[in-house]
Amino acid sequence: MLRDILNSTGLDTKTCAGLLGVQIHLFEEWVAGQKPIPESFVSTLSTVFGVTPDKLRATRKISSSELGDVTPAIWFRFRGSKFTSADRECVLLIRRVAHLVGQLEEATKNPAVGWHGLFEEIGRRVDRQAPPREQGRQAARMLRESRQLNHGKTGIGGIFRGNIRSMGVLVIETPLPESQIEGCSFYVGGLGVERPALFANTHHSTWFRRNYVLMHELAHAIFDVESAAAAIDFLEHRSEDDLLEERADAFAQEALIPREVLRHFIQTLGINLDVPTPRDLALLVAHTHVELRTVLAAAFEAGFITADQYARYIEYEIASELRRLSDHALSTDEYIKKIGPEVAAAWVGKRSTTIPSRNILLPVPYIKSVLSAVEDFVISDGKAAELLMIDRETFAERFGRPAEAI
Amino acid sequence: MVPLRQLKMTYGMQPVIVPEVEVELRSHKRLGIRCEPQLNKALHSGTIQILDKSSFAGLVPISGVGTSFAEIQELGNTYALHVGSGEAYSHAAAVQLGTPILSHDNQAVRILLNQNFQPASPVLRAFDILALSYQIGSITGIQADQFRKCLLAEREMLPAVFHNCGFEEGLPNFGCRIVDEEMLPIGFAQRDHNGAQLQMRVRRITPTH
Repeated sequence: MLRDILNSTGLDTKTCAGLLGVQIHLFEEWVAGQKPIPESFVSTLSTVFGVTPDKLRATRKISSSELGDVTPAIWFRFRGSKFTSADRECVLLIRRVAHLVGQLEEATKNPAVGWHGLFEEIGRRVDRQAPPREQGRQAARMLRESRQLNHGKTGIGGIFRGNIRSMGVLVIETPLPESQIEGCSFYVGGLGVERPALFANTHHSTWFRRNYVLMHELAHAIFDVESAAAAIDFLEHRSEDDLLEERADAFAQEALIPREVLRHFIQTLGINLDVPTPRDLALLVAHTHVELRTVLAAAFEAGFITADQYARYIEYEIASELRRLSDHALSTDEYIKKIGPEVAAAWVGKRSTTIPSRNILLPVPYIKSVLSAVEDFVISDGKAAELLMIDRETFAERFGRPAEAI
Repeated sequence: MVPLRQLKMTYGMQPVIVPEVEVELRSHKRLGIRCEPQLNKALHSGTIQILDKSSFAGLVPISGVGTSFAEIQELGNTYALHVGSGEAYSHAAAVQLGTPILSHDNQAVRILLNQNFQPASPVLRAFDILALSYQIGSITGIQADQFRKCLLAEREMLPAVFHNCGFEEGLPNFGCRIVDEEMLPIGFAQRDHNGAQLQMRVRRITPTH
């Protein structure tokens, strides 16, 4: 059965073995049914591939007509020539991370399930007959209110990731250079312990842009993913489903830069939007935490600028001003230079995985939670290494924890 | 491999590994390629067996232990939330079957205790098996010291008493956890916090010649 499931994912045996950190020959024996899959891997594979443990343990080969009955919905969505192997590999790894996050929460007895109630409430209260953009705005207001993101009339780019993670949403930002995917969202985790996962491709992307991408994907997770298995947004072309995209765009804009926040900054920064300088616009970007395009779209929608002004201001070159105003506009090298190598050493090179054949960057809060569980004697160093998808020696080196004497 | 074969042939103790340990050994990025031929050889000869569903009945007498493979897996799943997979399922199997475990992960034992789980007991180390083999004359002091040097070179764990001195030199200060009760004693018997002796005394199933 494992062979059939693998075929349905579009990933070959060697790639899967590499991503899971299992020796290829051993994995092939599992795939061929020559060796039983170890119990610990049954649960991992079940979550990663989105099939029940019973299906994984089954030895019966299925016919081609039955393939549709075993192919998990998520892998249906990632079929086709527009997806690269890198895309599917990334999906598999994100699902693996979700499995590990679930394990950590179970070990620490600290499950984060707040997303479920919020999604349900939004689903119940949003007027589904309203125009899609209005639906998105309604949902965004509920999010801001419910998660207390509307306090202080300030940009939320620096806090919303932690905020939505704390309600159980998995947020992964990692470079995927071979991919055209800008962002996507889907459900991860075993039956009964599902959670939404949001992914943003950091390759050639700014932090300001990713704030928008992640909020856009959150909207998809709230409204669309349950029925569509996954929402996928590409760098170059927009999805054909205008209703869903309009709603997600409006949600992202309203969640990040609602009218009152934009007005607050225009007033307090003393900006005249009839004759703004590049520095003025850079100031707005730096304070609202969204890219210029989004600032201007919000200003236009709020009636602060005209379409003609939008067209002119979008051409402003603000990059150099923005780098002076916000650390988030700096490249990694520029940022390390600014804070100094000693401070940077605390996190540089500590987020990447080494066990899977494709490296992904793990979220800093997740790594902190793993280390905290080690400090609290809840998990061993060996378990921590597993959770961080690195080998034991790397764990010892990275986090200064040599193995204990025997 | 001699010390493990000794356990089986001389003392009737079958060394087993759980499948999770097999995965770790074969998939280890640095050591996997090197240890695989040895592992294959040991598995082929039966010196080591893999404790899985298919081998369970052959390895564990039905009437003897009163546990099932499923119970081991269930306990392993619980332990695996807190310690690495290999350790988790090894401890689970050893606890359920009432056997000793070979492990160098002291921290895993402490974590399991801290979480109010029962770890396996006794926890033997590679050097305990080595010392037993030396005690009964299966290996020489020179061979044992070569093993020690090899571990040192690989920056692998070894007991503190053997860090800076040869095997025979360090042995009197080594708390042996398994000894042949019919032979001249070696090392010393460690005791736990409650004063209980942490030494397993074994007897040959074949008479001494």
